[in-house]
Amino acid sequence: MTIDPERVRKTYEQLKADAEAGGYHLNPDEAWTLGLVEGLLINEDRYGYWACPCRLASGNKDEDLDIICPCDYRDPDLHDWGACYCALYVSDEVLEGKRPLQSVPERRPAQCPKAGPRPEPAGGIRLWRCRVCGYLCAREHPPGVCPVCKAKRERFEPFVLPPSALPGP
Amino acid sequence: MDKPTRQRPLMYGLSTCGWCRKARTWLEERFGEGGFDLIYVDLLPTEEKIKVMAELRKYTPSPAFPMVLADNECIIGYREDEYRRVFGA
Repeated sequence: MTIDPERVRKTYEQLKADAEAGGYHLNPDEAWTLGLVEGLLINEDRYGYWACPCRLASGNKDEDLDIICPCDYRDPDLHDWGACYCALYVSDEVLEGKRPLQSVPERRPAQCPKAGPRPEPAGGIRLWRCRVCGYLCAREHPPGVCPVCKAKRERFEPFVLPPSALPGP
Repeated sequence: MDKPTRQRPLMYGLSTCGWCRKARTWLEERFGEGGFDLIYVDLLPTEEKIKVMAELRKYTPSPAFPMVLADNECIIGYREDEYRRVFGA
């Protein structure tokens, strides 16, 4: 399957603008990055969502939620390896040539933890946490799109700030 | 874990993956286009996919791509150093 190059280019430009706005960087190797964007679009047509192009998707969105790009593992991989698993995103150090780009070991657990609401401790302040970038917001419902990393609503999980974390009266 | 036994290298990959593309290019340069076998797991029908993943779990508890099998060797991820060690260059 191949994707219309125009569509790949347009998606790439948008993704790059979004990444930079959120403090992230796409891999400056344009041929590499365009290849991965094409992979994302192939997966969009195949599964209906942006399953990671470098991992085998199940085709079941609930099971694949943690590997929808940007995946839950991007930020720790950027920190530890200077790139996400696909090397679609790279760190400042890699971008500036201060760190070599290497292949990134898989950190996704073999048995994927089931997504969904977790039991909540009593008390405290209820927040929503973006599983991709850690953005927290205190509102009734999670935002439609994470303002930092653009992950969609279903990537937010309930997060309770315990009373002990709050400043005293 | 089992060890693969085969003379002809076999690469399992994903057709959408950049590292798999690099691995394929490396193998093509080393063995020529017809000199190794290549299976894109994402393009297989679901039943085949399940079979292949079960097969790969014989060699590693957590298969990832590209995965290159050769005689007694199972190389996971794009690892030029490992390719050179196993296949020479």
